[in-house]
Amino acid sequence: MEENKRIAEEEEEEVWSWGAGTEGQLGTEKLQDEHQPQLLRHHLSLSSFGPLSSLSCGGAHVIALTPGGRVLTWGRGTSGQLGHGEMVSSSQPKAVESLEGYVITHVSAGWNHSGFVSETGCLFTCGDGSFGQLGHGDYLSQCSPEKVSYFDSSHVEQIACGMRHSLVLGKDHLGNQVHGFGSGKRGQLGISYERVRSVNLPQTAMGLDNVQIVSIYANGDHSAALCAEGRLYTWGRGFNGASDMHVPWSVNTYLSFSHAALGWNHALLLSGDGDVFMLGSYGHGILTDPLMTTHVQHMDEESDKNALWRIPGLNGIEVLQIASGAEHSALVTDDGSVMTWGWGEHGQLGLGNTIDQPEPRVVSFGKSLAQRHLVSRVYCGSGFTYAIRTPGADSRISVGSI
Amino acid sequence: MTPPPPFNHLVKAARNPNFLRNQLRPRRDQMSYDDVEIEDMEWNEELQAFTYPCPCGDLFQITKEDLRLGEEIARCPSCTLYITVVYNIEDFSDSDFKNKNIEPPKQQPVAVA
Repeated sequence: MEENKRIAEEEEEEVWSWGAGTEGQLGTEKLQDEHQPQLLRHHLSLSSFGPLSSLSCGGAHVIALTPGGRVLTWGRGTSGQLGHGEMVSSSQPKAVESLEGYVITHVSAGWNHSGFVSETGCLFTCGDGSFGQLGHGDYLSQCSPEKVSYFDSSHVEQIACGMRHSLVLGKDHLGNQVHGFGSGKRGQLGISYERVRSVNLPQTAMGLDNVQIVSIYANGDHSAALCAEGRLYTWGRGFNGASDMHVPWSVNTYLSFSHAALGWNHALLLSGDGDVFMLGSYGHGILTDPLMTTHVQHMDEESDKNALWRIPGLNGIEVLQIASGAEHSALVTDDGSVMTWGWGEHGQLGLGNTIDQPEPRVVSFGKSLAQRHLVSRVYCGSGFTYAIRTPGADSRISVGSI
Repeated sequence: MTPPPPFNHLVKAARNPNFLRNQLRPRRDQMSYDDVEIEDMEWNEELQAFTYPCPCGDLFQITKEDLRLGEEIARCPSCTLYITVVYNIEDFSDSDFKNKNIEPPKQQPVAVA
């Protein structure tokens, strides 16, 4: 009985995508932008791989992870970031065959590179390596995942891939350590007070001694890490034109955070109470609509530039999850709704148009299944968005009782 | 954004008749997405252009010829967004190209088939 129910739920998992699609990153096989959520079951046989446990979306490619630790990739592959053994794009999900012998537990998609962490704590990378962001000690690109031998004697837990850099959360006899490699020009590696052009072997980030880091994040030229007590550290490119930070610093607030998401000019923070805050990007959502510039605040003080602000328009709605593209943002509320805001030129907000939005708006997935599903997760690539919707016990009960 | 000193404008105008026209050309009432130094752009052999990632997933692009003419704007073919390229026009001037045949800055894509 329990087993039957589980199978039924797996069958009902829905994968939706929208936004920029010309590189095949939406999985629709149409190679075009979509302004509204597209249900992928009709386009591709994702179901043959079973349910997905998580996604990571990069510049124009997607890495999907199954509960059994298999890895599927699709989208732009011209730098080898799909790991299929050739430098070609694919609009269909394909298994990364060279990882079949491993149970993969964590993945990250950067601008044009990819990282995979196995259950046994090994790290594999592939894709663009021109800035050393693969960590193999060279500047070569790879079209199949290659093991990063630097971590042979330690246990890797997470990888976070940015535009031209990578962060790794590892565990060794000294405890949790954050490592950086790739381009360091904006301070995004956190390895030195001096300006570092690039490094092609992992180096330990500074300023995080005696801090138990539990999550790491990278996007654009930004880096961030969250510690067990809920403090967020950021480094790399400054927000709102503030100067770059070459070593991690702690965001100055009494709030405690459970999740973070980085864009190319902003960071989203989810507090333990389900409130969402933003760091940076006073222009978020006004990239292409000059009429909205009234929302731009003039900032002179360095302290203003680094100030956190609460996302407007949520009015106490509890937020369960956040995600961030280059210039757009998404969240999941406790009633299962997906809301999006920010830059909308490619339909990445999924609101049926290309208009920028300064405040979160609810994405419509059509009426048919809406009441029967809770959206569990939302994921953003640079200019596109994915949602995985699974049936929720709560919503089923409420539907049944009507 | 701070305008460059007038002297730079004069130099550019003298070298490139299009420069002043470009300066005066009404662009969409939109800010440059970012200022990017030429050394941070990558030479793309296929596109024959210097490129930089655009937040839409495509690439901002500017050709050597554009740079030689004093153009500062790199555009994305998929978007309305553009970036301002920071560079020395002297590095791309006619004589340099003909005499020294200078190679573009580092960070060329490697091993791309």
